[in-house]
Amino acid sequence: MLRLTDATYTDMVAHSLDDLPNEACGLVAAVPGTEKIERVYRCRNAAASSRLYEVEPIDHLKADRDAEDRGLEIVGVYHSHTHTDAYPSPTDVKQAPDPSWHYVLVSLKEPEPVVRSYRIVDGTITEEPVELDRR
Amino acid sequence: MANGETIGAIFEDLLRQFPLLKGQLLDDDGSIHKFINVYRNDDDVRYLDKLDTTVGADDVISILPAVAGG
Repeated sequence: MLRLTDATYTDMVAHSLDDLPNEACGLVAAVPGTEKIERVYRCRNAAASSRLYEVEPIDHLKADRDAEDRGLEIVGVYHSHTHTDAYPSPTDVKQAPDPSWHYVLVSLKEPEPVVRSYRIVDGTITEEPVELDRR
Repeated sequence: MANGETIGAIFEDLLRQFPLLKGQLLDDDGSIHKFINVYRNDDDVRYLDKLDTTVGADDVISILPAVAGG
């Protein structure tokens, strides 16, 4: 389960649109032990590509520090697929570093963006529900 | 907590405490693994002296996974 607010959901989708034609990427933070994303950190795509993403390392470092200062921790990464479905690609699975992370995909393939979240453990992809918390 | 006067010495100390980290921290040739990024304060140690980068008492070392995909 991944819980998003209107603000965090909108921020990821807006970032994905802003960075077209390239893939956008960023990190998400939650209170440790919870599933609600409190903060979205837009990061630069060091690969600057429509097919690949690489979270700019210094952006990761800054996000990690900021999250820690706020009592949060980085619990996942989001990135956009500009022309394919919101499902992890073989490259995503190969590079997935952390079995405890949420892997959020924003697909811009259809006119309406699609947001889905996955766990990737030992190469196995499992989709998890995304709940939009409107409170 | 790990101690040492260089990044390499800190890695050695970490690996004494957590031997299973070896394949995560170092490549087969003993250099910093390409899937991690190591910082001394705000500086990527790949652009300093890599494992020989010196570490002072007030320096903060951060080890982060490289996050990438397609």
